[in-house]
Amino acid sequence: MGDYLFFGGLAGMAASAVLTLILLPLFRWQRKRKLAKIERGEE
Amino acid sequence: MSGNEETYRSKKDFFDKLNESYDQIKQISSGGGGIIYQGVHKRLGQKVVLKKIRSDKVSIIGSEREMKILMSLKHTYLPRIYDFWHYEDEVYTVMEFIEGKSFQELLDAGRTFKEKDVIRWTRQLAEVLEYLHNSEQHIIHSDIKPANLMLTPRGDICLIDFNVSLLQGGEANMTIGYSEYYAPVEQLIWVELARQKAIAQPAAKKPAEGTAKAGSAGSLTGGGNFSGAGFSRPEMVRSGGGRTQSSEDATEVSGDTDMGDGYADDDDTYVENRRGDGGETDIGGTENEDVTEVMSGGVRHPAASGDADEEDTEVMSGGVRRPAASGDADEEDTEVMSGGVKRPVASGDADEEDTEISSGYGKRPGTSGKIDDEETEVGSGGGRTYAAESSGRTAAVKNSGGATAQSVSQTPRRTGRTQTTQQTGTNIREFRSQKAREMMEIYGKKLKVDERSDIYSACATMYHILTGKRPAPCYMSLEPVETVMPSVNDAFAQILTRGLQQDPKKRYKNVSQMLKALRKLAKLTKSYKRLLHRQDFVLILMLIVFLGSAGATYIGWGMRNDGALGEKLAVAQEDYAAGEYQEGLDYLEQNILKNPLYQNSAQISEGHYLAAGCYLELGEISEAVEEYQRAIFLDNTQPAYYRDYGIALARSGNLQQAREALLQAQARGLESSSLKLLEGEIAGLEEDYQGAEAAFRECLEETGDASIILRAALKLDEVLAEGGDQAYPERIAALEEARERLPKENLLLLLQRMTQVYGDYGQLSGDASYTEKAVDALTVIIDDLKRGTMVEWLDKAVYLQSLGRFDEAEECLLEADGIYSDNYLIYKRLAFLELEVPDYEKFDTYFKKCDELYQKRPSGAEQDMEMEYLYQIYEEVVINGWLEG
Repeated sequence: MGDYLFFGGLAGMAASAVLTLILLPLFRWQRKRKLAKIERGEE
Repeated sequence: MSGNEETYRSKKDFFDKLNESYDQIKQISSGGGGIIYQGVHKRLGQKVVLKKIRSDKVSIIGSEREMKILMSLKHTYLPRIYDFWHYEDEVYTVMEFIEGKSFQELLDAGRTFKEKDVIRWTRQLAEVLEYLHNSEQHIIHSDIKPANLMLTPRGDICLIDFNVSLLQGGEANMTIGYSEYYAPVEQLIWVELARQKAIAQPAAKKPAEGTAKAGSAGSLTGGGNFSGAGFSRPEMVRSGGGRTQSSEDATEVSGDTDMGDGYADDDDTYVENRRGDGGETDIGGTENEDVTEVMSGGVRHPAASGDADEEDTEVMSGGVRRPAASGDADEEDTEVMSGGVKRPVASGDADEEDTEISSGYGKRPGTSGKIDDEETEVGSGGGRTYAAESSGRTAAVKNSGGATAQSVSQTPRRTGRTQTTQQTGTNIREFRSQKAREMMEIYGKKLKVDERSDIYSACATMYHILTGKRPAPCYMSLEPVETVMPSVNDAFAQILTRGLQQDPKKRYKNVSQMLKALRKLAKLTKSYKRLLHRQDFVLILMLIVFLGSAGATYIGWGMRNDGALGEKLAVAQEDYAAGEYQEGLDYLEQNILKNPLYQNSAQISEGHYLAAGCYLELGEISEAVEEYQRAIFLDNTQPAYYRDYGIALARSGNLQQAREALLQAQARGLESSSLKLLEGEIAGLEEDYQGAEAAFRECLEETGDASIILRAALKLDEVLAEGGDQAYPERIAALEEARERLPKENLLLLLQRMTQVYGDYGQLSGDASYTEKAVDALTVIIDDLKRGTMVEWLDKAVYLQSLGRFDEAEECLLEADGIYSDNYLIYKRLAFLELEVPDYEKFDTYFKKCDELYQKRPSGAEQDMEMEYLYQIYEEVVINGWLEG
């Protein structure tokens, strides 16, 4: 049980960290795109 | 070929060259500033607008430097100026042709606009103003209004008509426009001060037509008054200043819209040229001849009814509004800053929309497709240079100045209205002047026309576009946007409200500030907020997953360590139970006690406790005491720790401390049996063997704990052993009793003791039954418990041999050899066994094997005295010839 928790926890931390690193710039780009669309009147 | 760089032999040469560059030229409007043509650049195939500056206004063309400045302006929402063509009094500016209609036209047509579009246009307008204000020349437009804002087919804005752009800084000439509903208070004050100044100074004479004047086209380089290359508004300037008025040439009037004779009024027409000092509109400041104020002739004439709702823009340069012939003030009069003038139809029917060319409104019949110097100009005020095919308004203008013009059926400008106009003009003029003076009382005379003025005009324009309602003039109170349009976005309404503050100090300091607020507006939209919320949700989820995983990792790590520790402690426990104290110690030190993972963990107190037990059994009392102290330090709740600590202290001779430890153990709830164990230890060490025996027996009676039973039984045996040989039966009885109570896993040490006692007593008493019992005990150790070491095997063989069971003994030794192969001790035992049988052959075999293995021992190994004895026996056997061969 200890092994599952330990390695599972490690995997979870790694996955969430990597995802966050990918999502942060992606979200920034999404926000810019949205603002540009709003400013252009497309939304 | 740029027109600027050319020199021409004659005017004809000039026009030839001009017409060589452009094609399909057709006049699209004419006004106070000049004639506007649409054409196509022959080489580039691009549509352009050519604006001819009126000859009498040529003097307004400023320095070539200023022209180049304006040509260098590049922005998405500004039309490009491509070129200048000039020769003597002929000046043409070439600009980008902008498709679309002005917002004024659209509003007039009853168009309404969506709030999101208005917000977007406001942002675009702010961007272009930021560009202008932040340019090297710090350009102020100063005439922003719906008529000067185009809506392109793409749905974007285009800011046009820099007629009154204020070039700030350096030696800029200043021309400032005034649009009743869109101009801020500082411009109102400026207008009033200029008017007062003009009244105080007589107007200069108009220079002769066609001659190069100071600052006129012939002298484009250096000096001259110029209020925007190509955008000049005739009313704007007239270098040399002064007011020009001639009865024949009403177009002289600054306002070119022919203020006409009716306006041969000192108050209305004046031109003053003055060189500005870079933006200051304080006319009270430098007085110089070169300032051009658009004001020239800028007059607003309300409708006969005095209704001031109509939108009039005067460019200060004579923009004049004339009421309809019928005096009906409902007509929409728009004048372009360039003196756009609206003229009623001759019939007096004021319903028709008349627009004049002057501001690009209306249209004039096409020309030959070329430009020459005989074009008719109509009216004054050519201001708007964009092909607003205006809405089909008829062009109707007659230049009362005598120029050939197409006369339309409209009532000539100056007919029959002079008086009326004068009266209404005077009223509105007086009203405005009065208001201006009131404003001066409040704000003083030194208000600057700067970026904030453009902000006001821009916000006023957007107010109009958004609500469909024209804003009140700056000197009147303005109905809030939210009141006119309750559904408007709050933040946007706040931006407009701030921009429309009468006091410039309360407005945005600069356009960048306003633009920042507008950009933030986008962030307040629902869709953007929804996106933000979604993203935040995902990120929070990621954070939760991360923290949860970290927690799981931590717990898992702890569990792994605990599990590992538990397993390791179990292994050490087994070694201790098996009496393998040194092995147990080594294991504990290697895997637990010196492992950094377990440092400072309360759990390893058990490890220290086990190590202390090992040291105690090995007789290393001081080390045992230290380990017990460490165990108690890490976990002081265990009474057993205090008990055994007391035992170790007692064995080390510290009886006093041992008793204290006993008390500590008692205080921690140590059970009575364990206390008896310690008491027995102490009594034994004090050589109170009876007391010790009693304590151990009591302990055995009370306790049910196997480890306590074992320890008590062993300690009791030790105490009874003090009684000598006669104690053997008692000892055996006690040990056998304990054996009945102990489970299998705790029997090893007891059986080992019993084996010893049985064997000793069997030998002592000669009673083979005890030797048999010893053999049985060893059999249990070897076969049942599977804990037999070589010692047990050898002892069993010895006891079997003593019982005369030689075959069994030999079998036992050979079985041991299978486990502990190549050990000389086994062959030594076999040799001695065969000697007793006697089987000398086997003896010989086993002896040789034994000798062989004995010789192979590492050097430095301890000498075995029995081997010396065996060598002697072998020699004897050999000597006696008992070995065959």
